[in-house]
Amino acid sequence: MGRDLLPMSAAPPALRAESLYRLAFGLGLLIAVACFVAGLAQVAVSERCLPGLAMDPLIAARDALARGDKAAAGREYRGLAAVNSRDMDLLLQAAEGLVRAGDAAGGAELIGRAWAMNPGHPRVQTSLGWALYWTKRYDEAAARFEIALRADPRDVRAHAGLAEVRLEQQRYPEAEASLLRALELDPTNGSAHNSLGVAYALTGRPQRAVEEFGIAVRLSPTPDILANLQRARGEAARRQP
Amino acid sequence: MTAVGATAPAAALRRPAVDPGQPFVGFTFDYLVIGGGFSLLVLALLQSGTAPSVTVFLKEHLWTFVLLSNSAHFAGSTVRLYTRRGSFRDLPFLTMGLPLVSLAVLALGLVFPGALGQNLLSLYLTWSPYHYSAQAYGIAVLYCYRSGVPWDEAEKRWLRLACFAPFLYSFLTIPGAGMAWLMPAAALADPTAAAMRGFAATAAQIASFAAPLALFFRHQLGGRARLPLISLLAVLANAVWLVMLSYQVAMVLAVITIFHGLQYLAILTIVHVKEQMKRADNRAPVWRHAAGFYARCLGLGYLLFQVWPHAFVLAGFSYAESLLLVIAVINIHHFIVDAFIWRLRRDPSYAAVAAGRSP
Repeated sequence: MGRDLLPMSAAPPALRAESLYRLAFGLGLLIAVACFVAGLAQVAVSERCLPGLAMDPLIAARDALARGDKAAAGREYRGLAAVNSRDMDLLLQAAEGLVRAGDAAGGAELIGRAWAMNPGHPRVQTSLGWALYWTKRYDEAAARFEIALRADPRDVRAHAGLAEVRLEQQRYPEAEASLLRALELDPTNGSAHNSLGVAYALTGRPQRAVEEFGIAVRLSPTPDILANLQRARGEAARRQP
Repeated sequence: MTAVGATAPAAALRRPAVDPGQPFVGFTFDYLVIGGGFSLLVLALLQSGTAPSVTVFLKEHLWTFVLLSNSAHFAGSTVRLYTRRGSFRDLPFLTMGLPLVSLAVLALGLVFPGALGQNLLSLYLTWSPYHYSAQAYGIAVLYCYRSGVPWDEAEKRWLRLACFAPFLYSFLTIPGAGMAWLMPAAALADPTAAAMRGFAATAAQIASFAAPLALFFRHQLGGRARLPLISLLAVLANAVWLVMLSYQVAMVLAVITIFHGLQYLAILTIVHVKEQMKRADNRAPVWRHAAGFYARCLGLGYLLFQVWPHAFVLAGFSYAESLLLVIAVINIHHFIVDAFIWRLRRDPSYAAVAAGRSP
């Protein structure tokens, strides 16, 4: 029997497999293209621009917090914790974020999970300190940061957290010392540069504040840091003879 | 010409005491980019803390560098797979079936983040150091081939062991992956198990540096086929990336991935260009093949990492989980594809990379 006369059911297995592969490839390609179009459309409609280059899983959460959209921020932090509960650092960041977003119970639950993973770890103390800071319990927060720093004097976030507490308590020289130590350990911490700028501005050194806000804007150009930079520039200009 | 010169191969007489390796582009480029020398310079600068302005500059432009190098390198294996002649015929599942399987796994991971999603992340974090070590081994062997000195299977096994010591260290120590993922927490918390794990990690840490150095000197002094110096550099650079630096610190991790991507892209582009230049119908110059290949990698890298996660936000998932799972699935897809497209002896890449080797 000639090959052209083979009935469909008798098609060689290799041919059927190839047809299936082609179907799978076509389907995969279609879904991938649809995903790319949908992704571009989502950002174009919501942000009126093309997707940026950042690959930080927490960027949407931080943006939501900056906009004051605590519900969206909470959803982001919970999503992160659901998929990445084995990474202690991200889990703790999600915990602090949830507290900032107003879900203190959710944040405490995540800190508890991190504590169970690594009992007594200084970074858990640091996160607890930040959670207490966001709930305005400054003395307790400072105590947690100090415990963390006794265990790990190179913990940048504990230095930065202690500085934030001291800023709130208007103990500016102590805040400045902690921030300088944090930046010595990690000069790329935009938030610490911003806080140091605040400390300089509050202690009458606007020119130095401009420098710190300038670095902070380069590292994390958020609206609040940009506003700080503008204010400090205005103040520095007023003070010039 | 002396009597010796008349009988001995001239190349053998000219061989230097240490084989620097046969470069693809030039010694400077190969040592800095493919061997990983530039990464060691940058990482030393970052770790020393002596140039905070460089650190700030790097952080400021981190995601641009990640796109230009790392994202493009992930896309590179896919671009290579689909532009290589005969891929669809030789690797039907890899080219036509795997994309759909990957999409299905990603969708399921998003729907079941606890049961599947976080295991995908752990799998990718476990596999990643293996992939890095395999790349170091591949580069080391590549330069051995190009130096024209055959390594027998036993010698290659030792080289492989030396290359994979950093993976073993990572497997034992990475939080949330490797042993911490596969073993129950209670078993890991057992003091005896913890002590044994710590001992094994220290041994792997030492072996990551001592083993390649020992192998290099053994071959150097023992009259065996010598390990080119650039091969040693590539293996040691990988050991620095995985063992000496804190693999979990975001900034360091990003910088390491940039250099890993750069190394990979360089080799991949060289292979692609060499193949294109050999085609009978080729009319384009080298730079056009290289630029065209890189542009495709860059474009696909942008779509995969910067655009794709937003599609799932539209479907109601958080950006955080979308991005993390997209990264995990792209990584796993890349590891699988990579394992096939770099099987040197069975792959046309072998002809491309071995060409131009010394006599």
